[in-house]
Amino acid sequence: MASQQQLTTIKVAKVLMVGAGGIGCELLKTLALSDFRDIHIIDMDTIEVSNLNRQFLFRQSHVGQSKAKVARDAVLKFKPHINITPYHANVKDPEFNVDFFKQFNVVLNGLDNLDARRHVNRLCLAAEVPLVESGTTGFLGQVTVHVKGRTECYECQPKPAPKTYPVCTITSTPSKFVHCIVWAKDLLFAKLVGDKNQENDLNVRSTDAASSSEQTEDVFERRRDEDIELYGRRIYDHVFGYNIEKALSNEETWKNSIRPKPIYSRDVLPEGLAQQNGICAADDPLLVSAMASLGMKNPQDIWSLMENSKIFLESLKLFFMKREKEIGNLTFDKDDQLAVEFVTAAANIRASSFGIPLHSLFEAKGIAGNIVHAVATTNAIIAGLIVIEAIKVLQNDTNNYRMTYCLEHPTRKMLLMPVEPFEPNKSCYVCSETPLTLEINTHRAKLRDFVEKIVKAKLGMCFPLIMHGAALLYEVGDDLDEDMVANYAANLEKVLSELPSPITSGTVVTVEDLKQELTCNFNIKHRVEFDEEKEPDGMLLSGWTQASSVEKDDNKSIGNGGTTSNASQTVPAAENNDEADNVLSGKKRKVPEVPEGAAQDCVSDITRKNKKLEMVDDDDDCLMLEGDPGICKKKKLQ
Amino acid sequence: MADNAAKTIDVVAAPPADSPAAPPQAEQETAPPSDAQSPTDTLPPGITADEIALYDRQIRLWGILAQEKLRTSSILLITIKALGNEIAKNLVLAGIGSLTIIDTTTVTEDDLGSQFLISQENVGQNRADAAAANLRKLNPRVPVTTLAVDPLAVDLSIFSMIIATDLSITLLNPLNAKAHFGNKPFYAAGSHGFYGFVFADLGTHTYTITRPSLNNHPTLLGPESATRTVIATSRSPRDAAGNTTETVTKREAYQPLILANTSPLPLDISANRRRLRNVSPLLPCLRALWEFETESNGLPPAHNAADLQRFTHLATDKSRDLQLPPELLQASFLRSFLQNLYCEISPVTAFLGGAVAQDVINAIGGREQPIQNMLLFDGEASKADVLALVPVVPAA
Ligand SMILES: [Zn+2]
Repeated sequence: MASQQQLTTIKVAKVLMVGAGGIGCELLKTLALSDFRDIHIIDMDTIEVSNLNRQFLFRQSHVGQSKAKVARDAVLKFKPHINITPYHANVKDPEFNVDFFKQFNVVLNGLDNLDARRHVNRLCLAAEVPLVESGTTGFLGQVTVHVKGRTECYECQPKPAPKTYPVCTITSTPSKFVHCIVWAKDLLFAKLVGDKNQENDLNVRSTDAASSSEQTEDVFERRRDEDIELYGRRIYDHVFGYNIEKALSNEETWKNSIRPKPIYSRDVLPEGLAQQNGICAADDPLLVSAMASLGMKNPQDIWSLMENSKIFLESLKLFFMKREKEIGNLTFDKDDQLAVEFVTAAANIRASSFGIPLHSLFEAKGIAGNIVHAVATTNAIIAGLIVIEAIKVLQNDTNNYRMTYCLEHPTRKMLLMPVEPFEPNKSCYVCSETPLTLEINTHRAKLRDFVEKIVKAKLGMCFPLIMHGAALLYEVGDDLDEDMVANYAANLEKVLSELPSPITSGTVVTVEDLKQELTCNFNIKHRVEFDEEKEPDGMLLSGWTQASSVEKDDNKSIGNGGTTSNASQTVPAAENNDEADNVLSGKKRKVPEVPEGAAQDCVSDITRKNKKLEMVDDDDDCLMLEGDPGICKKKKLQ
Repeated sequence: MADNAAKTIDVVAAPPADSPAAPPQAEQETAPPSDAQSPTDTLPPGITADEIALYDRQIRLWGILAQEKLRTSSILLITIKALGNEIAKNLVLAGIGSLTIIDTTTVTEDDLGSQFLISQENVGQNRADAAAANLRKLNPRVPVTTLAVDPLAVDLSIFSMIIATDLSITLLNPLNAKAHFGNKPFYAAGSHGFYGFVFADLGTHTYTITRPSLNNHPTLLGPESATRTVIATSRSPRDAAGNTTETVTKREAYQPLILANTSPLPLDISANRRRLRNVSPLLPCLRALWEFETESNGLPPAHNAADLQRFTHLATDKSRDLQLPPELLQASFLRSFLQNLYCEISPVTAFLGGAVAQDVINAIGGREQPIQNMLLFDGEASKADVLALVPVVPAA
């Protein structure tokens, strides 16, 4: 058994777990069996069927219930005399403030998204509570320790940016299936059933610049009394036929790319759809299915062009017939069967046009939903390692802290790679006070752009307060009087240089988040021109460790941690093992296999650590992770 | 699932004459040709749409063919304590075909609080029966049965895999021998406080690995290490970005534990001073424990001076036999090992149970490199290294 001293430390420790998902279930079990007596657990999520293959505290009968609460009850069955306090809530809720965090001896993260991880990191720094952070993806995983002043904080090192794609690749020259998925999901689906007021690039490249915007708007609108199948065919012919033909007429585009072939519905489906819908009169909108109504069952099948075309028309029809009320505010959700069917079919038809191999619904769903591979075994392994580090942290056994990486090694000579934690990064904007530099056109950018694109999207602040010298330009809160609210609303729409206290070149702007107790200073530099493709925000932030804040998150629980926070909805899609498309972020970072999701920072960290190992390890060869996707390659260093 | 979508063409070389005619190709099962006119009912036999939904996240990792192989596997687990709980949980969640548990002991008060599959009301019941009831709730699709018999008396032929946990060497060796000669893959695992091991004897095991192909040179056929041979390779067509994947079929030849225990360290370690210094002192300690048990009818050292002295002596001998640097085996390590013999602590059993189950799942699926053959886990140092301990065969 563990030593007496360890046992005592464990028994009196008060622990906060954030996330009751894949890692969380294993972690709560392991903590309880290790004799931890006072455990608090936060998770905003409810249980889903696809959790049951690994989140072993949950049963079929628990689907729909709070993960934190069910997990507590399940653990108390085999470990009755301990205290587990569940919170079915978002960790970003104001009740979980610095004072709340201060009551704990250690915080253990089992999260599935970057946004929540950063938030918890800041609160742990502010409350001076040690954090043990974790993540898993497939067979990969990592556990890291973050103690203020002693080790790196979670944000000291850049995290690899999730995939983003140049707009023209998506709208005009797709070369991979994922490009077709992004097009189908973020452009076509959004255009037809999503928010009409959202900007949408669907027609940007595929119609003449001359063609008026009114004309393009009309195309996608269902006309009064228009037959639903005719409407579907009109859309089909427009996006897969007419638009492709239009694009073909621009010879410049096709000098280096394979020419697509236009597809018209009459050529693929000369006859009308058989009137076979009505079979699925499901009441639950999430159960309405074009596959069911066409009698197709296997999500692993790859449909022919004809089948995809049928699904396309049928799913669009079902949206208008069964789910008309939702049209105009639908966003893509991987658990929405009809949405997945529509996106799969549309992506496959586009793929046919561009000579890209077609994919099954199962595969398309994984790509569209950024689904992270998840298994019980890796989560169990990582949970064990979290508890081992937590015990060291509680004993203040600083010299033995380890960041531990679970490897997928081709010859499997080493399942774990332990690395000594690094010192805090002196220029980290989160745990040090180094100012950031922002290049921005102060005569054109509005305060709103700064708030949305930098303060919220990049710094991940929730309740920002913006000051220039003594002047308060903006703040968020529910205790503000109406005058102030109106004043701030007016400021948001003002160009930076025209604010009551103008922001110009050389200005220092201070941004604070009172909830996170984080303050950042910005040195502002005025700049007129920005590269549209590389700097789509029209501003450039430096001194900032995040390559991009855009992050996978589809509002539902994915990955292996618990969902305790919703990150912003995103355009970029998942890409499994290729980093060549990582253009918008401007960052080239080799990230092996499935960089998204829980363990997204795992492997690049390993690469970094290995660089370091490589330097200290002077007498011999050593194991190195090359950047090669999924491959941990042995390399002679001599 | 880009890997799975890859269609294999361009077989680089036919397998050698002595290899199976059709090496398993676990990675390619989900990819019928992309232009196929697909029938609507081509699920592998047995797997239902419900199961695909339930196992969605893992099928995305190991593919539907491996899931189907799991689904038809029957696994025997011998001894179910804390480590057995972890292994059984992981395998039942993954959707194996059936689990059979042998444990002839009863649940005591001491078991409570360290095993999540049992609770107060199970005290006095057979340990396997108590755990089985909860395992069935974990995944009602997996039949879990128990046998109250001497594990050495069981007919192993009906099982596809044998896993033995927390046994003395006097049981492990004969069980392993029985499995080896019956051509049944065998795993042994155990934990001692912060330390633990996993040993694998999979007989002759064939598996495939699919990886992005880095250059134009296919993996060479032939021996790759003392135990491993590459028997076939194939490559997918290039995608639009010019990337391909290579599928390599390999074969590992295993030895039983009794031979592994007298084998030297692999050459790449014994010939390298830095690597020798990195070998876990757990290895000589385990060998000493097993020798001690062999000499005393399966009993581990007791906490008396004579036993401790004898154990220390054995451990020093084993360390020297392995040609390990003398300073590797510290008194503090020996003490920590001896104080916690056969003690199970939850983070360690969680790790070991995850490692065993993951290896079992991949071995059944015929994919990924399995453990060859001894995994040593040191929870204090967060190390988990695998050593191939095989007898030195004189060159032919
Ligand atoms: Zn930092």
